[in-house]
Amino acid sequence: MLMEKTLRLQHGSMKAIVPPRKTVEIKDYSIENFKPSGNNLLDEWRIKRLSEYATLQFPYWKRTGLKRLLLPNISHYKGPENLDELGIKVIDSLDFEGSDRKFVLLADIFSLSGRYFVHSGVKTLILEDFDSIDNSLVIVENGTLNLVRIVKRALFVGNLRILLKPGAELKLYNLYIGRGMDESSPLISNVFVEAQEGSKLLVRDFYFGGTINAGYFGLRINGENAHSDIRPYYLGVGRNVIDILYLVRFYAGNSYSNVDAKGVLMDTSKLIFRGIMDITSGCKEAEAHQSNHALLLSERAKVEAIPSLMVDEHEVVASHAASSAPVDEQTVFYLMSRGIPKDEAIRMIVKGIFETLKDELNNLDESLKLGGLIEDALGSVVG
Amino acid sequence: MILKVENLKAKIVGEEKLILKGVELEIAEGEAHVIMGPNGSGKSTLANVIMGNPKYEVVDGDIRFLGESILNLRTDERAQRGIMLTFQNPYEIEGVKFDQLLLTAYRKLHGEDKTFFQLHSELKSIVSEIGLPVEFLERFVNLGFSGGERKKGEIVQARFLKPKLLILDEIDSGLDVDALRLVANQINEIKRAGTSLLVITHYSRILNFLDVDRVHVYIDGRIALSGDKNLAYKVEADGYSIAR
Repeated sequence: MLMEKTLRLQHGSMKAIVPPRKTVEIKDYSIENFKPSGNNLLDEWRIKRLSEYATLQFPYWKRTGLKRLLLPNISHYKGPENLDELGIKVIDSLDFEGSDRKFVLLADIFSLSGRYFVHSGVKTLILEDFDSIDNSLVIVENGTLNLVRIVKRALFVGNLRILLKPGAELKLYNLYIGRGMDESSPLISNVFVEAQEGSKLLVRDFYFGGTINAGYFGLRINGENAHSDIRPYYLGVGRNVIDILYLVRFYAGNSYSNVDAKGVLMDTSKLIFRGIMDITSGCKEAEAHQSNHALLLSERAKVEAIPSLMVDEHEVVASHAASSAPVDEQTVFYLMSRGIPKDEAIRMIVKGIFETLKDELNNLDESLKLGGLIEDALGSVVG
Repeated sequence: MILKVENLKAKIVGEEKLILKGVELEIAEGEAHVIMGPNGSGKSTLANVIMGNPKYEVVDGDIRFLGESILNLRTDERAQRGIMLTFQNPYEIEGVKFDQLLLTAYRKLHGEDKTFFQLHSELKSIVSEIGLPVEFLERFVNLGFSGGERKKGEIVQARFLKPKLLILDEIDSGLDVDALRLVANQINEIKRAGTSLLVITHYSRILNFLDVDRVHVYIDGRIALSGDKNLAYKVEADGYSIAR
């Protein structure tokens, strides 16, 4: 299958013109940095990727202000080195454009951490051991997988590909907690998922910290009766730029997807939210919704919401909604009328936005109480 | 006197037109007063101005609570003095659980005189008495509540928080007869416990179940007529024209 472009720019006989890609010069890797994995199948695939990688320069990423990048030394290769023939087929087919092609290829070729596994049965898996460049593949063969990724890093460029086989269920929690102190250490994550017939997908993403926190989530719905419930949460502080894109492309009808983003922006933080629900021709009775609701706690915080509904079929339901507003004065008044001071009332409202996420994380594993991560993040900014 | 409203004039912030045009009202401790009036007469505005809603601006007059002018107090300070308003349309607050709100509020109003467990147990018994399931306490405040549940939720709050003066803004709207009777009985219970009441309503039907000391007919931003409970029935029979 060809690479999944973020936007399909051809409609019938009409074709949109793509502006030339602007680039910046950043000291880059070359063939000398290529470390063999010991897996011939994987290395053949990586070398193919390398030939494309070498033709691309790093993007001039105006939205995030990314102009520099401190790439780590590549001393070894680690990633999905145990890939088998099935794995190679899947990793090759799950190819999306991503936040930028250069970063997708970079993680594919030069990863320093990563894994490949095929899941069946019921399991909760918590992953925290990420290096600065990560590449992973998960195939959910059957049953239910609860996968929690806690990415606490300064620089991070990571790819995660997931194939959700017919009837399989996945709950995916990506907690992106940036540690970067300047623009040269962004946190860039690309997640590509294919959902097959009757599969169920629940995604919760949490973006917090760092300077540039960029997430790309691409979902290809490739079977009927697939259900996906995707909720990105963000908490922007300082001069944090959160640039997130959610693409759901339907290749099968009678399926449901909802992307419901919400969060809080403080100080001079900025959110760029792009939601693309793309229903291709023939996907009858598909249902696609997307929304973004941002609470602004500062007059200097900014939101750029760019919703797109691309619908090539008549019998579908599709919707989008977006809002960005300060805390509702009357809701604060309601809480104050119960004796709660204004700053505490606002804190309750802000924390409330993340309460469902916190509860879900706590319920995943009673002993680990992962909701504490959200509590800590909130505590560090709103007390 | 628990509440004394003197020549109160108020408007929406940024607008010119007065909504309260010289309200005079006195409520003695332990009394229940009812304000009746047609739609748009400014009854809810009076309730909101007493509670200190920042949407409104007082341009003249005074509000005295237990002898102290409260005009310069913030809403939370007024609540801490002992005033509580139940809302006609209570606000939804995602992520804030009902018990979390009430336990936080209780501690603000009454300090730490009871343990968390004592408070929670008290709350559960109030919720059960009002005919709501205990799980109600775990739900986010007013989110997905039916109209009746919202009103009952406000009553749960009033019972639990034990204000000195409770202002009920159209607590009866949207309630069926059984729910109305239950809510009215709860309000009587609150009064018996020593709370003074200011009940704002359109209709006299809730008065059939309420223990009321005084009724005021409120027209066009001021109290036009006052009397006992019979005044409410007269309004019911003849309409608000009797006070115009």
